[in-house]
Amino acid sequence: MRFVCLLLLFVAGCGAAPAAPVSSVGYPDEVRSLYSTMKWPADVRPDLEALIKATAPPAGEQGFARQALAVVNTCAWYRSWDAAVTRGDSAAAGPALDAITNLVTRYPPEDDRAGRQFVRDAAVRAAAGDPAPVRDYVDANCFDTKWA
Amino acid sequence: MKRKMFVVAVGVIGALVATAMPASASSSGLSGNLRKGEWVNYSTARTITVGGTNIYVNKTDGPEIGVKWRRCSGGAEGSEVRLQNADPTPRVRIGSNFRASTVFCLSAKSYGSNSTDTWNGNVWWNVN
Repeated sequence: MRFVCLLLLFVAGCGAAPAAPVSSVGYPDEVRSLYSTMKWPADVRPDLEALIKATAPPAGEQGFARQALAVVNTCAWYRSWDAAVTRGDSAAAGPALDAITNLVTRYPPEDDRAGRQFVRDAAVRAAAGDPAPVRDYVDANCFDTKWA
Repeated sequence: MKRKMFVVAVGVIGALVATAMPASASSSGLSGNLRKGEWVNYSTARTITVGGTNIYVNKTDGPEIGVKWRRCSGGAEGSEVRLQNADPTPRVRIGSNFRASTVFCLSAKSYGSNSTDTWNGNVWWNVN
């Protein structure tokens, strides 16, 4: 239940209008705090300090961690599922496909209709055994992400 | 005869619109805060779903600004494009030839006289 509440808060934040910057500093703490509330695959997790360095807003203000973590979490589940399928590990592929289908499809904001459709289509194609969309997503968004 | 001409005209206009804006083209309004001479990141993520397409923006209200796209997950960003003070500005391209599935965010900074300000405009993506 707690996880569902956190997820709803997370998704609501992703749908926010273009940002008003927050004056307080603390982006690194925001990333670490939000990361700890999210569900991650056991085998693919980002190097948090590298992620903070790569995505920190100019003034280090809070309010920008959600979109970065949403994309990186999507990449993590896509990579985990792809690796599990490649090595024939159905025990790991099953939970990853569940996250691809029921978790990451909630990340794109409401007004990014094309993005919402993309992750839904990627889930359907993954369920059918087609890795092409998830590989495209990882290549486009996380090709230089450092993983722990 | 008039009816035929009307149908032809509608067909021509429809074809022109379809050529200019593919069915998958996306757009939304923008409204953001600004700091003079300092980049402000905006938190809304948008997804390129048509490979090889471009991002455009215009400004309908606000001071002269610089605007750029950046990958929401970090590691890549576009060059600054200036939008002049006079509004509305033309639609200008701020990035081109994107890979499908790229998730991008926007940043802007002010060249106006106020230390803080706001602006409004529009963004188009998945556009040729």
